[in-house]
Amino acid sequence: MSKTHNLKRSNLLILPFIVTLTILTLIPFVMLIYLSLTSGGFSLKARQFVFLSNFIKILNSERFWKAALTTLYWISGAIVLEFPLGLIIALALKRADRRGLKGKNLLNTIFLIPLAIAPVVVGVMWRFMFNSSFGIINYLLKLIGVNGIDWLGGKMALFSVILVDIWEFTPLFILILYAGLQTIPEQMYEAASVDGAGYFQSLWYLTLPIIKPVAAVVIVIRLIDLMRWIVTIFIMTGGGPGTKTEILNVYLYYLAFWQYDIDKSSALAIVLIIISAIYAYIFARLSTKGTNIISG
Amino acid sequence: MHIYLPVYLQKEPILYPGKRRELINVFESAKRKCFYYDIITYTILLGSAIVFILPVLWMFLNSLKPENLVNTRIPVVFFKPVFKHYQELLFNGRFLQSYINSIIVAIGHSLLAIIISLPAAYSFSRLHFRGKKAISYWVLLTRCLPPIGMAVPFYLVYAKLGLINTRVGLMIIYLTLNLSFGLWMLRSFIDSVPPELEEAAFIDGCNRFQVLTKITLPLITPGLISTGIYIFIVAWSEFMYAFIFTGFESKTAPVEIQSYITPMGIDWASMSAAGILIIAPTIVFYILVRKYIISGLTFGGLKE
Repeated sequence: MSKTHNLKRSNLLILPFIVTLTILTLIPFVMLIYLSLTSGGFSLKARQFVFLSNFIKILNSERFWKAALTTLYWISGAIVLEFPLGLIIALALKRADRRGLKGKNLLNTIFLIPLAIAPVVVGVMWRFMFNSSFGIINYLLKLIGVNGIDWLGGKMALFSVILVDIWEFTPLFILILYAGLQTIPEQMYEAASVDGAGYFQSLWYLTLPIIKPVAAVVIVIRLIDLMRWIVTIFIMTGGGPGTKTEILNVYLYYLAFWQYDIDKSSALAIVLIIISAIYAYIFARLSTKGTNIISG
Repeated sequence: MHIYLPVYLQKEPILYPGKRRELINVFESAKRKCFYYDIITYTILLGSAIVFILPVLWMFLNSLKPENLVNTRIPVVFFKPVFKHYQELLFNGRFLQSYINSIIVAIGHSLLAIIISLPAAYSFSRLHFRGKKAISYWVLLTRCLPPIGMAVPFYLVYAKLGLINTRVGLMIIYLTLNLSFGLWMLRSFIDSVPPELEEAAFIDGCNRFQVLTKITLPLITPGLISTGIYIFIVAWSEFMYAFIFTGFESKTAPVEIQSYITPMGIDWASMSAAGILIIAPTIVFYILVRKYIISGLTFGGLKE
């Protein structure tokens, strides 16, 4: 078939997609840029051009920097704990698989459950268990002699929401790292063991280098999703107590839908979108090999 | 990991006895070490499985308790189950309405997303055209955008168009979350259909439309269904857009469950039952499309 023929066909096929994408993402994005550079009320026409002053306002606000710091703690805390936990469990799963453990499918199904649950239900469920007077967690802790921790209401709040994120998303690391481990051919392990490598040696010199690219991809995916996450925090603490768990997205929600401060919130949204675009770029660079997301 | 006694140790007349004993000792200690590693492996797996499943089981138990057994200082594990919370929810207009809204929104949205992304996925898989790379990157970017950020301009436009507090509005805005996934996932399914099949049909005189409907579509039907299910789950579970853009009539179930948290206190038993009703279909679906979940979770990037 000739090239022009292809071109016409592809236009016809891809047109609905492009139109939808333009209306739903490009136009809102342009609007957001316009809103962030102007000031005034809800009516688009009545807004006045103020150049970067919205950005300056947001970057000068103390609450923004506090939220940025909280976001940093939240993202790094979640990743730093989820990745090793997920790796350990995936390795255990792989080892059990190689030793011929029964019930592997059941375990895999159980590891799917936290991912399958709607985030809002996760938030509600943990809020109930974290309850300081009748929650089951404090009851269990009492049995081993730890008394009355105020999980969501006090200093522990940020740690608690990170804990919930660990519960919810460690399975993502498990599933993907395990899938990565499955690609390692059994012969490689045999060869390593013939050469006299023990479990930890073959882990360090064989397994880890092979799954490094997969691990990098999952970590970036988690970075992207943590950057846009809000639901569980919104449900469990709403950013509180005070602003202890207020990550940037919660702050943005507060600005946009509590204060109806369009100027500041659109500037903040632009900042968040720029960060997301950087992550997306990293992801695209990481995944060009062996995947088909970005291809010419 | 299998540790066999190597053949040269099983019968090796040339080795002097001391050396053989020594080698067998090494083997025995390796076997013992393997046993300890086994114990560690099983402990890790069982422990983590319990941690992941217990909260859900606990919520399920609570949904079956009469009210007076839910908020107790000492958790009640054994009790006579009652189903009245489920009955109340399913016959109570508000939750039922939100549940029906959820079903309508999620199904309508999935159909919409599939219809829009299927032809695009086909041309991404089979055809070459200019700007493919740019579009790919743009699609990836939409998957990375913070939803609250996009909600601001959407809110202004929706307010103008009267789409706030409608189910259609929700179906449309969910496209920003799911078009990327539909494209990636369907594309990988179409990639797996050998082009030779289509070429053969071309030679037999089919046009591209006939090839699509007669050859490609039937072959990717399982993929189409899995993609639909995955998109359905995302839309079904979504909370933030639904919370911002819906009102009393168009509320979805995830928004409704959150409304049990009131200043007067929280009805935990009904809330648990509502939670179970919301997650039951998604858990079933997740297990059904388990094979394709990884591809979905990694932006279509990794395939099992």
